[in-house]
Amino acid sequence: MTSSFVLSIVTFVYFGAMCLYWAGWVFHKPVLSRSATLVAVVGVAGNLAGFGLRWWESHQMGMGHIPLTNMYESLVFFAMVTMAVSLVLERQYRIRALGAVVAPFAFLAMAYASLKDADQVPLVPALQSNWLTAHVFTAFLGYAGFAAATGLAVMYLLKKSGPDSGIGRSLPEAPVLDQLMYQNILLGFLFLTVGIITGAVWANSAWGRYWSWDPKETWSLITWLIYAALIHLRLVRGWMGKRTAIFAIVGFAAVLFTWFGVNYLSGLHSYAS
Amino acid sequence: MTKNQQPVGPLGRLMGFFASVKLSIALLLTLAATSIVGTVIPQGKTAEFYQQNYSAAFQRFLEAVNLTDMYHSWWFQALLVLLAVNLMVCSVKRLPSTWKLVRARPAGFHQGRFSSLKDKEEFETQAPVNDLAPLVEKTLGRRFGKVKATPVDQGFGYWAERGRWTRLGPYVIHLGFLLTLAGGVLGSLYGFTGYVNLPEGETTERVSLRDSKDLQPLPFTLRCDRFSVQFYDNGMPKEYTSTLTVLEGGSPAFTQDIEVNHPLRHKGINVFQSSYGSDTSAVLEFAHAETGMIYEKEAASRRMMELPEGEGRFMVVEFDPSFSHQGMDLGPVFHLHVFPKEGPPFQMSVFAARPELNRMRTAGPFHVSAKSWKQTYYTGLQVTKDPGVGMVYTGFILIIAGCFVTFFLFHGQVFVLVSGGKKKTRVSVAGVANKNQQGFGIRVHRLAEILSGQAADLEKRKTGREPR
Ligand code: HEM
Repeated sequence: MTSSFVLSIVTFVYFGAMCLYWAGWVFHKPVLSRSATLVAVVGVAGNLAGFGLRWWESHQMGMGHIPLTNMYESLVFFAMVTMAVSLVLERQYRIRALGAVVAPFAFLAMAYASLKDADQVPLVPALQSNWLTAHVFTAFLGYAGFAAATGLAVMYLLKKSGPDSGIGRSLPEAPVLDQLMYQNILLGFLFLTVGIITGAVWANSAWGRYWSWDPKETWSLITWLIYAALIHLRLVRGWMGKRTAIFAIVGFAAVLFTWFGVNYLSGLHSYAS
Repeated sequence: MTKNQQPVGPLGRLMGFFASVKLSIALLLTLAATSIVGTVIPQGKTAEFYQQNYSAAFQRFLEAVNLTDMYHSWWFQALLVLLAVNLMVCSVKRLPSTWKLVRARPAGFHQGRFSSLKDKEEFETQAPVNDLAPLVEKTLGRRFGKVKATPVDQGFGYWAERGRWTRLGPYVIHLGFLLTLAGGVLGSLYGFTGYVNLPEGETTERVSLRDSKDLQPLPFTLRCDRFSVQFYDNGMPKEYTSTLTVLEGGSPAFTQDIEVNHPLRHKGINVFQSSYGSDTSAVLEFAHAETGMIYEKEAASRRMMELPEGEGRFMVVEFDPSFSHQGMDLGPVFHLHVFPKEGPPFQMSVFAARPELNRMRTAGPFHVSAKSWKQTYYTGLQVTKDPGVGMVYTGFILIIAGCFVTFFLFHGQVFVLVSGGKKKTRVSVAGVANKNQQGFGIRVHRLAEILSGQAADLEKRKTGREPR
């Protein structure tokens, strides 16, 4: 069995988990929610297995690098960490519905990965650095934190717009969601910070410049600035609730642009030169 | 927060402006928004690039607001300076009160503060106060650090705290951020980024600067002894290696291999493996069409050479390892520019593998053919000096450490009041934290549970029966 086969099954498992989470949420059926959790656990286990298998395959092919080096691999890793974070929060805070808003991220990441090139290629010299591993690892942990925060922000807004509606009823109280969202932002922010910094250290060891304002770097800084503003708004200006929830969603749009959108920008560069 | 202090006078108002968090938030968001522009409009390209891609009016606009190199423009740098000033003024204003709080003598149990706390956990026991009190002190000390005990009416008040120093977290982050900025400035003032293509066997004492194309002298001489590339089976490059020798005062000081990610560092200068290429030099034979005289010349690429007998000059402009013409592979070819003594310059090709084709054209009076040629590699080195890196890295470490402390640690205080009469002892526990009240609440709750368990044990031992 190849890793890409395992991972394409995981995509369907996440899809199943997502549907079950939704059904459990909307119809208030704990049985459905519980089975959603179970399916999601299976998905994460499969995801981890696929990740490990791919690493092993890379060794078999004589390259032996941790699968964190291209778009496909980053999507796989993101899906795994995001779903895992969601499951941990679900267990700790007993929020069944969380999976309903976070599982779509995991599923979409895996579905998008399946469109990407899954071939294993050896690493060009610049990528052969432990700093690269640390960089991608931490940056995507950060993205996972932000994804969970975004899910919680959406839940917060739903709860606020209809606390007793069919959808809002099974959600935790708004202040709990608000606090959890904020804690995930802090987690995401810490790891994004470490991710940017390890990226800078890597660039300095490979090219002698820790910062060169290339679009990807700049967009990660933009994301960092947005979340830094959010943290100050909350800690110093006392922002809470709806405003921070909307801010968190805007921040995640910046995350997504840093991850995907920038490729279209640098496309302009390569066409120009 | 000292929000209610009205600033006095123009200086005070200015300080108030710079100390405001509203300003910092506005600056953070402005920097984020303006940074987007530089990712949409390609930066630092040639004038032709902008001519080709943008209308004349838009180009003038780009020029006017420095959008072709915006991250180094005066206004972007001014925003950064403003942010730094903001941060400094703000910290200078706030640090003294935080510092006083952190350095203050431990507060101890205070009845008034204790009474004002919400969410107290309470239980009653028959264990006598004097037996229970030392147990409480011990448990509290084990879980929360140093305990202060204060005798109160009919009992004892205990107080313990943890993580008071974590209130300095934001200052550490901000200091780290300032150091990073300062290191960046230091690097851009006293550092440089240059590059040099160094053929095997050659030396250099200077490099071309990246931004200005000026030459930058190095404090030593650099020689490339050897360059090599290793490939994977599929033909992708696996590693580039240059063997470099540093010469001081003309004699070799040391030799080192460098690879991508493993630079040479010497006297504050870093030498990075950045690219490579090859040059071809040829031994060309010039045969005079009439006299039959034969001359040999060793020609390197792109270097002006004299034709024999003072007939003019020539240059090998390009070597093409496999030249094809109308679908036919004509093998390796040297393309020459010829500048004859008389008449206009022209181009000609010298076919290394097909000498018969060389008879179609002459350079001045000479038929040219290639006797032999060899390819030499050159290594492309990026050479940098950045005296700010140490400061930037220190800033990085402070930012990460400060974020961790600020986000996940907190200053918590626990109060326990043990009091009672002959029959009953009341224990009440409360906690207060500057952040993460919820998480701290859980710990306080756990403390209360443990204490109540201990009290029950004690009661059992004293009375010999299970507590109700
Ligand atoms: C790494 C991200 C940052 C974090 C986590 C952070 C965190 C904080 C925190 C927790 C406070 C509140 C301090 C308190 O309660 O005493 C604060 C205040 C402040 N921060 Fe940051 N900060 C960061 C970056 C920045 C940056 C880049 C600036 C840029 C200027 C900045 C400017 C300020 C200012 C001016 C205050 C003062 C607030 C006041 O005087 O009331 N911070 N920051």
